[in-house]
Parts: sequence; C-alpha cells; structure tokens
Amino acid sequence: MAFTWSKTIYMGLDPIFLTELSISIIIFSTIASSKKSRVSKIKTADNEIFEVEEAVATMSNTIKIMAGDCSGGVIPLNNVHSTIFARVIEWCKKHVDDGEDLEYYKGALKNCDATFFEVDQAVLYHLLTTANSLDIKPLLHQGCQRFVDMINGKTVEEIRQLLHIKNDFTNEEEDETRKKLWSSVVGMNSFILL
Amino acid sequence: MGQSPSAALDRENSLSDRFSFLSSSGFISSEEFPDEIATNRDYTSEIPDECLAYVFQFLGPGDRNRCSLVCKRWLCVDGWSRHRLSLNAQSEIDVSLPSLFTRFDSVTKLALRCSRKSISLTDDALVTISIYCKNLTRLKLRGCREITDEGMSAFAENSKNLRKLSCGSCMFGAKALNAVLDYCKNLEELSVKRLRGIHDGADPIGPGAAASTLKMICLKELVNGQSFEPLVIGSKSLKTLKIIHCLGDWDRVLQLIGNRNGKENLNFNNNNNSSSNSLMEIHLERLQVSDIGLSAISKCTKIENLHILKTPECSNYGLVCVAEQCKLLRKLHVDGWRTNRIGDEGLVALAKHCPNLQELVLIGVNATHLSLAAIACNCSKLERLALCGSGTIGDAEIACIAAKCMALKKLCIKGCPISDVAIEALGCGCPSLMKIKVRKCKGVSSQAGEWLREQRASMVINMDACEIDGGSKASVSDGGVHDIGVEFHQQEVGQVIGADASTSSNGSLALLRSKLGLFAGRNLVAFTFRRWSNNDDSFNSNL
Repeated sequence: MAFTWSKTIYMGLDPIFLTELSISIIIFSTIASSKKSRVSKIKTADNEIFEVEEAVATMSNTIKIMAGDCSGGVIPLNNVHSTIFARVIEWCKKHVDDGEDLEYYKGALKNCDATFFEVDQAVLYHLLTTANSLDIKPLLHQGCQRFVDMINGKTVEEIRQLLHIKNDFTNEEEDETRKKLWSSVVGMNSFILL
Repeated sequence: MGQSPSAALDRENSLSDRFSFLSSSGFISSEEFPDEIATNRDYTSEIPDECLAYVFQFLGPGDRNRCSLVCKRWLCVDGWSRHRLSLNAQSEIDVSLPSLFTRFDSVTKLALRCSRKSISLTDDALVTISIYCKNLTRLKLRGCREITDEGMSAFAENSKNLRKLSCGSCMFGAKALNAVLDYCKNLEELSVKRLRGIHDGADPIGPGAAASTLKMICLKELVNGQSFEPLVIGSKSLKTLKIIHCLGDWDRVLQLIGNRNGKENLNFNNNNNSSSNSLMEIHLERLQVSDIGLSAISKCTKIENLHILKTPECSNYGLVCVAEQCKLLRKLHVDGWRTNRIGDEGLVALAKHCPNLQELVLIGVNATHLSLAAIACNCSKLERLALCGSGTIGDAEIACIAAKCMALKKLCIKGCPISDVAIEALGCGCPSLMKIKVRKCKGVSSQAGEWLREQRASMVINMDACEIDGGSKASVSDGGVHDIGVEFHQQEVGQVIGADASTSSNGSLALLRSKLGLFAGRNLVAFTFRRWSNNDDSFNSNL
C-alpha cells in the first residue's frame, strides 16, 4: 500500500512515543486501506503481474482508460517490460498525492527525484518512452528535463558523441544547412562557433 | 511533410499508434540494462518522434538549433515541431525563404526583427512568408521599415487566422492597419508602437471586422493618436486597453467607453454576459487625460487593473470616483510625478471601497500614515506593495504597514526617507512577508539589513546597503519584486521619444515636442526633484 508521510511528523517527538505512534498508525491504516483501496492488476510484456493500488496505477492515463475497458480484469501492457514498469510504479507511489503542477515536478527533480534519474542512458530513454506510452505527464516532464540537462550547452559534435548518434549528413548538406539557412534565424549565431 | 505535431500526450491518437512502436532491438532483456551500455548504441532512436519533439520544446533556441544538426532524423523532428521562429528580417532573407519554410512547415508564431543598421525585408518577402505560413496566429514586426501599406494588406489577406499582431518602429500607415483589421476577423490583440507612416489627415483606423473579437489594444508613442480613436471606441469586447505617450483626446474616448459600459450595467438583466463586454484593465501613461477621463473609467465597474502614470491632470477627485465605483479593483499603479495632486484623500477612498486590492504601486505620491494605515487595515488581501520616490513615506508609515499588513508578501521601498527604525518594524511585523527590496534609502544602514536577515531567515532581502544576500541569486537579480512591473522612464529633458530619433523624420519629432511642450516642462521639474533627492538616476526598468 502506498501512503505518504510528512517528514515534519518526525521532528521533535520522543522516539518511544514515535515508535508506538507509528506502529498504531500502520495497524490502523492497514485495516483502513485494505478495506478502502482498490487494486489494479497489470500484466507486463514478459507476463509478470503487478498488483498496484488503483490511485497509483491511474497516474497513467493510459492505464486509467484501459481499466475502464477491462473493468476489473487484468490490464495487459504489451510493450512495457517488468523491470522498467517496476521503476515507473516506484516513481508513481512517491508522487501519487502530488497533483498536476508541472513546476512542482521540475523542482522535485532537483531534490527528491534526483537519484531516481541518475541512471544510464538506456534506462533514461526507456523511462521516457514508457512515460510517453503510459501517458504519465509529470514523469515524462522530468525525464525530458533530465535529457535536456545532459545536452544543455553542448556543441553538435559533443551531442553526437554523448548519445552515440551517427552523423548521416554529407559535408555539403551540413554546410548548406548551417551557412545558408541558419544565418537567417535569430539565435543561430552561437553555434557557428562549433 | 506538413505533418502536424500532436502534443506528445495527445489522447486523440489511437492507442495502437502509441503501442505500435517497438524497440529497435526487440524486447528489452530481462537483465538489468548496464550490459547494453558497452555496445554504445544510439538509444535515442528508440524514442518515438513525438517524444523527441516534446523534449525539443524544453530547449532554448541555441540548444535547439544545435540539436537539429545532429542527424537527419533530429533535423526532421525539429522541423515539424518548431512552432515559434524568430528571424533576422533583413532584405537578404528572401533568398532563404523557400528552404526555411520547407524545413519549418508548422510555424504559427513568427517574429521578424530588423536592426536599425540594416535594410529590412520587402513587401514581396512578407507576402511570400504569408503564403508559406498558412496557419500563422502571431506576428511580431520590429524595425521592418521597408514594408508598405500594400505589403501589409496583401499579407493580411493571406493570414486570416491571425490572432495577435505587434508592430514596432515600422513605416506603414492607416491603410495597412485597416486592412489587417478587415481581413483578420479573429484578431484578438493589437499592439502598435512608433508607427511612422500615419500622417496628419490620414484615414481614421477603425476596428473593422475584428470589432467583436479584439480584446487587447496597446498604443505606444504615436504622434497621431487621434487616428486610433475609432478603433478604441469601436472595439466592443475590449478587455485590456493600454495607451502610452500618445497624442489624442483621451478624455473623450474614455467618456464614450464609460457611457457604453454604464448602459450595459443598467441592462444587466437583459445581457447575461455583461462582464464579457467590460474593460478589465486600463493603462494610461503620459497622456492628456484628466479627472473627466477617470470619472468615465469609474463607470467601468468591472475594472481590476488600473495604471495611472504621469498624468498630471489627474487628481484625488478622479481617484475617489474610481475607488467608489470600481470595487473589484485588484491592482493599482499611480505615478503622481510629484505633482502632489494625488495623495491621502484618494488613497483613503481606495481603502474604504476596494477590499480586493492585491497590488499597490505608488511613485511620487505623497502618501502619509493616514492613508497607508487605512489601506493596511481595510485591504486585507494586499500582497504586493511598492513605495517609491516619496518624501512623505517615513518610519511612521512603514510602521503602520508592518503592524497591519497581514497578507503582504512583497515590499519594495525606493528613494524614501526611512531609516533603520523602519527596517526593525518590518522585521517584527508583516508575518507573510517573503521578499523585500530597499533601494536608495539613505537612512538605512547595512547593519539593519544584516539584522533583518538574521531575524527573518526565510525572507529574500535585496538592499543596496548590503549587496550580497548569502550568495542567493534570486535577490541580487532585479526580480526582487518582479511581479510589479513598473517602468521608470528615465527620459532626458528634450528627448521626448525613445532612441529612434535617428530614423524618425525630424518633422514629426519637432511636432511632438511642441505639442507636448506642457509635458516637457513638467519633465524638467520632475527631473530636478529626482536628481536632487537621489544621487543615482538609474532606476531599473523593473522593480
């Protein structure tokens, strides 16, 4: 079950009292949540089944729509692998109560989500693609921001090297695009320095 | 090409589209990913185009332009997803237009800027652009001096979807604007600054086919402001009106608008949407407008945002009229220009009748604790306050504010005779205060700033007495009270219009000077006061 704690609860309380308090709260909410929360069953491409609280799962608009169609059965995600799905759900659990404000997520990327995105390129792109296909806008937003941070301020060649992208322009094509075209566009001047 | 880029998360796309992509390497292996890194693959090829386009939206223009050169795919994605383009609109651009707009085939927002030193693009180039960009919704023109009435008319004929037009320092005239207003039936915003092609005796400019859609009109530095009067009066759905430093009989114009609003208020039973036809925001700056105009504005009872800057004919009487009738007022900026015609009397009326006031900016207004206490008590929603260049704002006034402004979040004090006592009062009061800016107040020492910093650790403090605020960038930037965007025009005596003197004809400049002789005189007086009380004349353009 996913519930969020406010950290301020912990401050200034006696440890024993705190433990008792947290135990009783855990017991209470276990009872409460098992009665109240609904669980969605989701099957990933590699036939693994995830049981996820509905509130968390429906952070994905895609799952939300599909849940409507499947009405209680297992929701199949044919293009998402369990490993990446587990990560996405981990993120969703953390943010289930955080609402829609994208500015908040931008700030969160620097703080609580920073380690979540310290991943290799492959994982980052899988996250981006999955966030896109599952339609989880805040996660996509954060992933894009991370991607942007990677390429920010780099020259064209540096970007190619970082992302292992092959330059498929011929020299002539590249020259033409650069000189003829770009001199007209405001903001292009800086990159001529390449 | 011409594929319209859907929003990355557009649910109108069938789900199958979204799920039809397959990773180029087949399914992801069940092992963790790090094994794959060794192969140095281009992982970005696995991101769908729409996702890549979404990423590009986050990039600034420099980064975006560089990304577009990385490979052919990125060039292509950037091309169809770029909606906003800003071009150096010099005469040489016409050669590049076909290739430019084949690459960028989805441009809806275009800016054409030409510097003063270059010759701008011609009518033909502008018309070509309008043929390529069929879905243009916004156009900004700056310094495109070669464009004529004919060019603008032809452009307008091709740009029926235009919603916003902003032109500055151009040379076309009334015929061009009338053509735009006739063809662009959905025009919502029109901003005209320093238009040099309107001569005495030119056609008046009316709202044309856009009479019911125009929501915002901004007129700035126009010699023949009176040509625009029918436009202002005839735009029946106008919500925002800004007139800055234009000649014209604005009292009469405001009276006509006010009477119309007044009639609608009386007929509110018949017209359920009366609020949709009312003005909400008016900016008047350096104009020939008096209390007659302000009384007229008071009939626009839905006004929420009012700026009365450097209009020496306006006095307390006018402000009282507005306050009594316009109870929805949320933002008020007054620049009294130190003529002492607006002061406590008007502000007390404001306190009494306008409980929704959120933002108040007073420049060169001699307010004392009498009115400030009233405002502090009665305007319980006041969040942003700026007090500048006033000889009557002292420690007593700040103490009032500190004691009673419970909701105040941002405060700016410039060039007022306050001392450390005021800073102490603020430190102990104003419980919601988040940002404070104090500039050019000679009585305030850096120790007071340090004390305040210790007292209120969470506050962003920007004081010229103590420049560095713990290394935090936010306070050092000029965005201290950036919500309040007041422009302090540092007009040198004799330079009535901005830096365009070289390009405008001397005739019109001299004409403007002679017509505004009244203002030029007051300019000198106001200037003397400012120089006397402040060493450094450079008020920033934003607070």
